Amino acid sequence: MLFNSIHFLLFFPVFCYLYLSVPKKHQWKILVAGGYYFYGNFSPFFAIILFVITCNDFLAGKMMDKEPSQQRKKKWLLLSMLGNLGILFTFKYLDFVDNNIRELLAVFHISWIIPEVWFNNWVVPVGVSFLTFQSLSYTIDVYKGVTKAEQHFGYFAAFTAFWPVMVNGPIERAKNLLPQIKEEHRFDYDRMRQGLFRIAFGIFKKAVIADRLAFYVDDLYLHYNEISGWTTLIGGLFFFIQVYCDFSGYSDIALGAAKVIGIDVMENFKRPFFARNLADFWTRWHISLSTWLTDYVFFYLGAYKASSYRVVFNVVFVLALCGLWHGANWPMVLSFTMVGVFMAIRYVWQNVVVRAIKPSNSYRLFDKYFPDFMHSIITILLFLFCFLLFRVHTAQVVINHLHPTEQVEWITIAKTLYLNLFRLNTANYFHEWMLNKGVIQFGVVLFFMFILFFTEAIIGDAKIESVVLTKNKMTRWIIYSLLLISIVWFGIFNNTSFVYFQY
Amino acid sequence: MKKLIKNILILFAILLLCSLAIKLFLPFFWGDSTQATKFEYYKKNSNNFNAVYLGGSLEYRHLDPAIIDSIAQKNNIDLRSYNLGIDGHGIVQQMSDLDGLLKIKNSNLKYIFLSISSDPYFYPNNMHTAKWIAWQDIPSTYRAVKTVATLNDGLKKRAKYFYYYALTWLESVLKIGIMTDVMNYEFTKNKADNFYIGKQMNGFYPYDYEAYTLMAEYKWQDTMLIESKRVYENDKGKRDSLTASVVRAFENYKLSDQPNKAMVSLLMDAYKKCAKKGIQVYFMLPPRARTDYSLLLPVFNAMPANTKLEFADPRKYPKYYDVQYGYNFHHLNYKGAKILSTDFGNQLVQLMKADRDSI
Repeated sequence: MLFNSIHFLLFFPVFCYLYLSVPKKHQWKILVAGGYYFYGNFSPFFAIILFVITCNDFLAGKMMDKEPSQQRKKKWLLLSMLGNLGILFTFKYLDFVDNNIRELLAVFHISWIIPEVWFNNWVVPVGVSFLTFQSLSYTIDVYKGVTKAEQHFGYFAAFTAFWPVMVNGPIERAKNLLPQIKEEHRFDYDRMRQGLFRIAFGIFKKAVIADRLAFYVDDLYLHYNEISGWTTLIGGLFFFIQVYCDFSGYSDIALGAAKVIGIDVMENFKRPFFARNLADFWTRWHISLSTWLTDYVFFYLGAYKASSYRVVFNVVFVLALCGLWHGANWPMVLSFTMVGVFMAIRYVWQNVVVRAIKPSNSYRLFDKYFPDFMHSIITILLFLFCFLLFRVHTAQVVINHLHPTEQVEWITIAKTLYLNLFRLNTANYFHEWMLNKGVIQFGVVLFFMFILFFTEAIIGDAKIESVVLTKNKMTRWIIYSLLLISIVWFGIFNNTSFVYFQY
Repeated sequence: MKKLIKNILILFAILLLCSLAIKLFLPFFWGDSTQATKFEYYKKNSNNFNAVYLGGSLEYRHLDPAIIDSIAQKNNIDLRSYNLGIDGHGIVQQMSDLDGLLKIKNSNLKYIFLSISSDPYFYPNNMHTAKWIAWQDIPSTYRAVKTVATLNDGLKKRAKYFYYYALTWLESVLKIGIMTDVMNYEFTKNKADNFYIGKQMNGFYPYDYEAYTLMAEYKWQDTMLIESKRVYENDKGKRDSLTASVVRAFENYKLSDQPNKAMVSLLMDAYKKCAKKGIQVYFMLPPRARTDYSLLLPVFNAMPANTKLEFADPRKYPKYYDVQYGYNFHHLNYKGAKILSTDFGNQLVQLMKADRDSI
């Protein structure tokens, strides 16, 4: 079930009514039933996978609780990891690995024993990466002693099947979610209006901005060999903003929906376009994933408490892993690895160069005349540069599907895009954009992007729903009305699935 | 809870009021640039015309008013016609077009030609587009669902289209997702290109012309158009099977076949509405319709005598189904359109003469 569908529009009030009106002892049952209905609606097979993950991790957690020694607990943790990562690998990465082995062997003229068609058309369960990471975080936390093992299967099932965050995050932690699931939740007017406002704000980002930007972004990748210069730069920026609005919009809806039923979920985005540097960006973008990788991988590797070379490796490795989590294809891995390389360069710069010159007057002068917004712009441009690869694989699949006789390699698309980016004396295809999509469409998208970033600049890191509720009644009603009218009049509602669903 | 529901309802009331205010400034045809261009031109020049053809592409692309008018004039009949057919318009939308047409002041208007070529079903891909949403209002939705309910298809299909029409009506009332199109219309309405009114400014524009003059605005549609021509020319099997199905519908037709009552009442309402204004309505059964003729034929035959113009029977009009006169599976090329317009003119003259003689 998509958040931007009529089905959800019917499901949500019914679910809320049932959940908030049944006695406390039955509330977890409604959560489980709602979660399985929500997820099983994509495919009943997905619901079975969810059940398998739930059973596996509940058992692992419970057994770890019984084991006195860490050594024995580790075995159960490995079982949990094997289950979660096995499911993730089977559905998401098996085809990728199979293809790579085949291509590698082909270089040596050796044929691979497994037929190509075997894993080609396996359906990846929606949001499987989110599901497995959320569930896995529970068993790791139990192993580390951060969380107590849950003894009630129903509560644990409600944790894994918590539908607001199930398919697109935020990747919640058991220590935050499980205690809240066990509490009693009743109708609360203030929470409800805060939640509903947050949902509306999320839909605004998704339907009004992200799906409108898709017109231009689709063109950028489909006509990659016609678009050049400034048009590529604008298209790249549009893609970056599209992904942000799409994903953070979904997170807003998830947060809002959870809030309506009385549960607080972690924030997943904090104004990433105002980040001062790459590391700062990483603390503001997809926070639940970056903290997951930091807590369970980066710290495991030694984080910053190692030699400079090791830190550089750690940073690049974690970002490459992040790329692989996003998609089983090389452009995606490369995209995030590039971010990692830039972050490593920054680390070396800070650690070696800045530390040496910081006390000097020249550094202070440099810092004085290099204002904050310039840092933000450079950060955005660096991410834009890396994120151009983000969609190259999808574009390759679409282009090759549309033109089966002229197959194109992803590397050709990537190379053309990057070369186009450096032809800033041209703006090829911009005229076609204006002609095909219209100047008004372009104006509308710029206007709403301005509104969004202007709002973010004003409210700072505060939650938008809390800021709005502090305003007087008149202002609140004007904001509510304008938000609703913008969504209804300017939203695009053709059941476009969320970009992040494929992950 | 009550307070929350009350506030949500107030918000939606504000939205509804704002949307209705927008509607006041928009003509019914704003959603389709071709329709807007053709209707705007007609509005400005309505007194030059005394006859109008309504319908879909089977009229727009097939009936040349210049040919029909000249045949009528040779027979001392004053006919100055304008083609208001619009691609994709089916039986329900035709009624909305008629309502809109009758609101345009034209004391000279004597004849209106309605097409019997479709049922109220449509391509679901058209949904959520301004072209499809703009014209829907309470009367049109009522007509649509009433007709859908009486069709002989399964309940599931009818319920699906019932839902589609209701949803589209809601989209139209609240202007869901179409404000950019509204702004586009408002900012460009005075810069409309008269291309689609045709070379002789009478609303006729065959597909052959369109294929040779691809406009950027419609480029993707026109590319599809050329592709449809290629497929049509190469797929003899499908061509023959389509023609055979039309022949079968005519062969199997019996005078006792019951017409779809809702469609008949829709068309008869239009007939009576026009008659009150002193306008004569003629009904046309065009060739190459997508809808099954076994549904259309009884409806057509239920129309009043001396108002019916039939061109669909392949046994009587084999040329309309001949590949050299076709553009694609459901449309004639310009050569075919010329033949159809000539036949139309001759049949119309006979009808009008018979009508005059009977008086």
